[in-house]
Amino acid sequence: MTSVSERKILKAEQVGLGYANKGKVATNIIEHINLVLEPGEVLAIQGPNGSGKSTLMKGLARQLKPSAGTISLDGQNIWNMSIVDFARQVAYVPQSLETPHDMTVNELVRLGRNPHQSWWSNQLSKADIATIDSALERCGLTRLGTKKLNELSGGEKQRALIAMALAQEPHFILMDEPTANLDFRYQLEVIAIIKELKEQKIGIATILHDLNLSARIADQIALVSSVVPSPSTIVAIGTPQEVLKEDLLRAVFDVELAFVHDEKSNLDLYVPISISK
Amino acid sequence: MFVKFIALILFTLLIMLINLCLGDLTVAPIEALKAVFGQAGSSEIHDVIVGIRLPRLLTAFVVGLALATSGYLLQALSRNDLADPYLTGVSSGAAVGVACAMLCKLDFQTIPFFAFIGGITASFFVASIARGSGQYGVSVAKLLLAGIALSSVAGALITLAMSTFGTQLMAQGLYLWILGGISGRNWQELIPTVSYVAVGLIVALAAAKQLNLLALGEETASSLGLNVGRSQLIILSAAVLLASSAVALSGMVGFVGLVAPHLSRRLFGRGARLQLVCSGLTGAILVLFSDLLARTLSPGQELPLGTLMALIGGPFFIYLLSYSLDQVHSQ
Repeated sequence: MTSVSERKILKAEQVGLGYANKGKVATNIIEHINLVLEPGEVLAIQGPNGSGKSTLMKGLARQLKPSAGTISLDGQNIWNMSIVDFARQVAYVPQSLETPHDMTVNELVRLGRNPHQSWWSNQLSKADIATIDSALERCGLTRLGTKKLNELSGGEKQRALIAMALAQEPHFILMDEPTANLDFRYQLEVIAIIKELKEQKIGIATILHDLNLSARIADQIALVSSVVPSPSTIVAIGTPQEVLKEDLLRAVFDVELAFVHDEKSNLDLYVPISISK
Repeated sequence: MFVKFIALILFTLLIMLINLCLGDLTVAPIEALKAVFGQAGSSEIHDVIVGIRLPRLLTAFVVGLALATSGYLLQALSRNDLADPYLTGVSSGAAVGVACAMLCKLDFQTIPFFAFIGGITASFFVASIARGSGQYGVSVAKLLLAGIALSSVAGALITLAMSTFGTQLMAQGLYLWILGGISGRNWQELIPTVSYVAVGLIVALAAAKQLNLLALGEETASSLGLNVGRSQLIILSAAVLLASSAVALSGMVGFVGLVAPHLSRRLFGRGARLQLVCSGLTGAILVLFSDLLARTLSPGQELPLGTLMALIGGPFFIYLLSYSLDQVHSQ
C-alpha cells in the first residue's frame, strides 16, 4: 500500500519537551533528545514509569511543541508543516481511546481517511474504501467492522486503533504503549502486526514496557531515564544487543535481572529478579 | 434512518398544525390552513392565526431548533452529555447582553448581536475554567459548576443594573422576558433572529465531520489532521450564536438543549449530518409541545414557557446526572 520511493526520515535533534504550567515557564520533562527513525525500522522506547516516554511520543506526534531543538520530517521542521500534511505522513496510536459509546469499528477506521479528504466532506472514494478494507484486513478486523467499539476486547480495540492509523497511509506510525493492559496472546498479535508493518516499510516508534518484546522486534532501542532532579534523557540508544546490557538496565530500572537464553526459540530473555539494594 | 427522518418531519408539521388550531379560540385545521394561505373565513380567524399564532408558532420552532442544535454542538465539543447552553451559563451571558441592550434602549434588531457578545464572553470564561490546567479535555464537574456560578453572577448583574438604571416598567418587562416566553412576538422581531439562527445552522451542518473527529478527543482529532483549536472556536461560536439568538427571542428557556439531543440520540443515533438535523427538529417539537401546554393547560391565563420547560427538563437532568455519575467520575 504505502510504497516509499523517496527516503523519509523522522529526526529529533537536541529536543526538549515539557508542559507549561499556568503562567510559569515550562519545565522540561525530557531533554537533549536525539534520534533518527527510518522507514521499515522499529524504534522501541523504554524506561521506568514517569521517565517521560509518553511526553517524547507526544513531541514526535506533533501534539506537544518542543521547548528546545527541532523535530523534522525529511529535513522540514514538523511545526512548519500543515497539520494535515503531517497527518498524511505520520500517524499516532494512543494508548487507549474513549470513543462515543455507539461508534463502530468501520466508523472509527473511516475517520483515518480524514487527512486525505476535503475539510467538509466525508464521502469515501473507491480508493478510500480499498484503503480502509486493507487496513481492516491487516489488523484482522474484517469481520468485526460493524461491531461497536465498546463491545470489543482490549486486544481488538487496540487493533482497531492501529487500523485507523493505517487508513491514514502514513510513512511512520507512533504508538503509545500498544501492548498495555493486554494479555500475552493479544500482546503477540500486536507485535505480529508491527512486524508486518515494518516489512511494508513503515517506520514505527513505540513505547514498550516488556524488554523481551522490544528485543524481538526493535531495530533500535532508546532507553529513557533521569537522574533526579534533572530532566530525563536518552541514556542509551542502539541495537538491542547494544542497549540491553545488565549494568545499564540495573542502573535505569533499579532491579536485578537474570539473562536467559532459550534454546528452543533461540531468544534472549530478560527476567527481573529483585529490587536492587 | 431515512424513513424515520421523514416521519420526524411529518410529526413536526402535525404538531405545528395542532398549535395553529388549539387555544382560546379553537379553529378547524382546514380553516387554519386557509388562513395561513390568506383565505381566512373571517377577519377574526385571520387575526388569530396570522397575527398571533403563526408568528408564535414559528418563534417556538426557531427557538427549539436553535437551542437543541446548540446543545448538540456543546455536548459534542465538551464530549459530555450534560452540556447545554442553559447549564453552562451561555444563556445567562446572553441574557446580560440583552439586558444591556434593553437598558440602553437600543434598536431591537441589535439585540441578538448583544446577546451573542454576552454569550461568547460567558462561554470563553466557562471553557477556560473547565479546561483547567490539563492540556486536553474538559472537566465535567468544573463545566457545570462554572456554569452555575456564572448564571448566579449574571442574574445578580441584571437585577443590579435594572434597579440602578431601569424604570419599573422596564424591569417588569425584563423579568417577564427572562422567565422565558414567546407570546407577543411579532414578525419584525422574528425575521432578524431567524437570519442569525440560519447562519448558526449552516456552520453546524458544515462542521458535522469535525464534530465526529472531535468526538475522539482533541489528541486523536489533531493526529488525524484536524486543526483542533480552530474547529472548536468555529463550532463554539455557532453554538453560542444559536443559543443567544434563542435567548434574544424568548428569554431563558432551559433544558431544551439538554433533553432534545438525548431524545434524538435514542431515536436516531448520532454522528452524521442527518442526526444533527433530527436533534434540531426534536427540540422544535419539544418547544412547540411545551408552548401548546403553556397556552392550553389553564384556560384564560398562560404559563411561562421557561417554567414549563424547567418542570420537564429539571427532573430529566437529575435522572441523567445520577445515571452518568459513574462516567463523570471516571473521566
